[in-house]
Amino acid sequence: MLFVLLAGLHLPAWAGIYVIVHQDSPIRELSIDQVAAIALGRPVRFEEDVRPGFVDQSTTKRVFHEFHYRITSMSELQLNSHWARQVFTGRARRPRRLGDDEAVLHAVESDADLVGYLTEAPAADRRVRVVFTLEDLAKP
Amino acid sequence: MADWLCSEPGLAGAPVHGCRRRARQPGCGAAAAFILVAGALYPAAAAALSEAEILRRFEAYEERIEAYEKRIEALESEVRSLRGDEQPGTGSVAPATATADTVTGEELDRVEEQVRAINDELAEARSRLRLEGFATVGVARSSDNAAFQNNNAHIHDDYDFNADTVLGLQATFQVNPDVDFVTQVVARGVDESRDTDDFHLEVEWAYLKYRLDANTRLLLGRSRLPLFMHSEYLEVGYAYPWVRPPVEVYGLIGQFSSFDGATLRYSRLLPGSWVMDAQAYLGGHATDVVLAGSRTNVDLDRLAGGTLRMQKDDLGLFASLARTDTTLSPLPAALQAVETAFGLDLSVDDEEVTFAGLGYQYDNGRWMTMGEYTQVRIDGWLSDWDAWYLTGGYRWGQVMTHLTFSDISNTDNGDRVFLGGALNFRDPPFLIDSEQSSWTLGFRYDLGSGVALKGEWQHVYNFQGTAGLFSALPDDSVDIWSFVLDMMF
Repeated sequence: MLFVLLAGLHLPAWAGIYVIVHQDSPIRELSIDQVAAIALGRPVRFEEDVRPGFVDQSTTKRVFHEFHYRITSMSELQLNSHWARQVFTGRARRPRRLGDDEAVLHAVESDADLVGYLTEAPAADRRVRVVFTLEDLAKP
Repeated sequence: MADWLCSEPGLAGAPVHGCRRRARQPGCGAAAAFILVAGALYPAAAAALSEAEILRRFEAYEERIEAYEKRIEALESEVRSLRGDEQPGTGSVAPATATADTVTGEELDRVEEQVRAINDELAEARSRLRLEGFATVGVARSSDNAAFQNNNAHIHDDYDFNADTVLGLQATFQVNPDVDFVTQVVARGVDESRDTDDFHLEVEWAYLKYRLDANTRLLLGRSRLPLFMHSEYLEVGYAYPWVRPPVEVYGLIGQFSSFDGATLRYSRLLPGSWVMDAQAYLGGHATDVVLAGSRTNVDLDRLAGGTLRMQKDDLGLFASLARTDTTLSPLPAALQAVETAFGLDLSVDDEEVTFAGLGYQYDNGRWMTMGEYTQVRIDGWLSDWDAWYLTGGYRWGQVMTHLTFSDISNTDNGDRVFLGGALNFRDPPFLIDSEQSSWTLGFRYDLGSGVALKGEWQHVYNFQGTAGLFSALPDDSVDIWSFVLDMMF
């Protein structure tokens, strides 16, 4: 009864942000700065030869705005300028923006270099690993 | 070195019509044509990766993609029919064929696996080539008849659609995981005051990018000359708030927008969430300009420089240093005549030019401010100048309003006085110098999906007896209105 009540308290809150990589990726853990750098196409050095790419979520999803508010500190308008500058100076590629968690899961499962994020922890049988988590987020 | 830098007839690219049409249908065929144009216009890049080779690879990829698409179609229809057989009633069509009895779940999985594998390969083939573009369509009008220098074409006292109109296409081809070939072709609108056609094409980028390690890239070929904070995306209007970067700072040497040589880029995360991006470059560039009524060639030799960008959250800092040796040949006829008449030496031969710039940007999503301060020093009698601007802006939802003050001043006015004051190149008809200040009030309205509408009013004054950034002496003050639609695709 108490458990249900406590769980219920968390229900209206945002579930969280789960940053994932392929299960075969040598990346075990990422810091928030590393996640931000990967999401913005900036170089991040790893011990192993990893060249992380990034898949974003659609701008129509709340998690897109949550992720960028919390992690890259950029609004959608700032991101637009950022990508115009990165792409047309040949520095980085604009990440694909996928429709939902399932699309991100599928993309990351089929590419060992990709980093993506979900609104819920992935099921145990998915071929991905969570490397960074923000949980129990209140509304921004 | 002022007014003569203001009009460039556009040597680097031959006039090409129909470039806009090509951009509207970016496909693999267009990509091949695009690369071919880039390759044809830029022999050095072509030498590194010959046109024929690039074309051959594109064709091969196109064929492979077509073949894959056919196979996928066939396999998908097979999967559909199999699924229909396995779960009768759920599919829209459930043909009861004789093979239904022999189909197992394993076979279905196998076919689906095949489809997935082919899809992945197809995606991989497609991901090796990227086509991206930007475009600006604009209209501008000045209150003065004297043509106003823009980074692009000139603005007159009549509505002009060419002044800010730009189309850029960028293709990135992954040669192998460590090497990319990047090329960017830019078409600009040009007005009748220059002796070129309506639009001309220039290859601004054409380089091979080598990945030396996770943080370091080596660029060989033609790339943007990164003198200013916004140089590297000078014509991508979508990337900044104004209709055009402040002309007092960007106008005079804006046309030296690219150079040929090598760039080393180093970029990394530093402690405390700082991101560092440093680059050093070496090379040269030659371009034609019109000075004192005649066409002449400006050769930037032994060009060397570096930039440093530091970014932390909402704050960005920028520093830039460069030097080059400049040669003007031939010396314009008007200046040659002065030389002969008065026995002066006005030659500009390997004169050292040094450049220094500092800038900052701050943008917290609601408030935005940025500024740049630059110095240009040229040996000899050509003018030296300091130029700077400060911009502040505020976002009201999708709309940003901004205000800019910008100024250019000469610092060595005595150097252009000859014959005890009887001859001063600051004065008409030479008007070698450019001094002016301006206020710009503007808005940017983000319409979403890579489109922004911008408008601004610029009030230019404080010419100090020079023509400022105009082709002839303007009135005491000039107002310029501009509207543009910026796109990124």
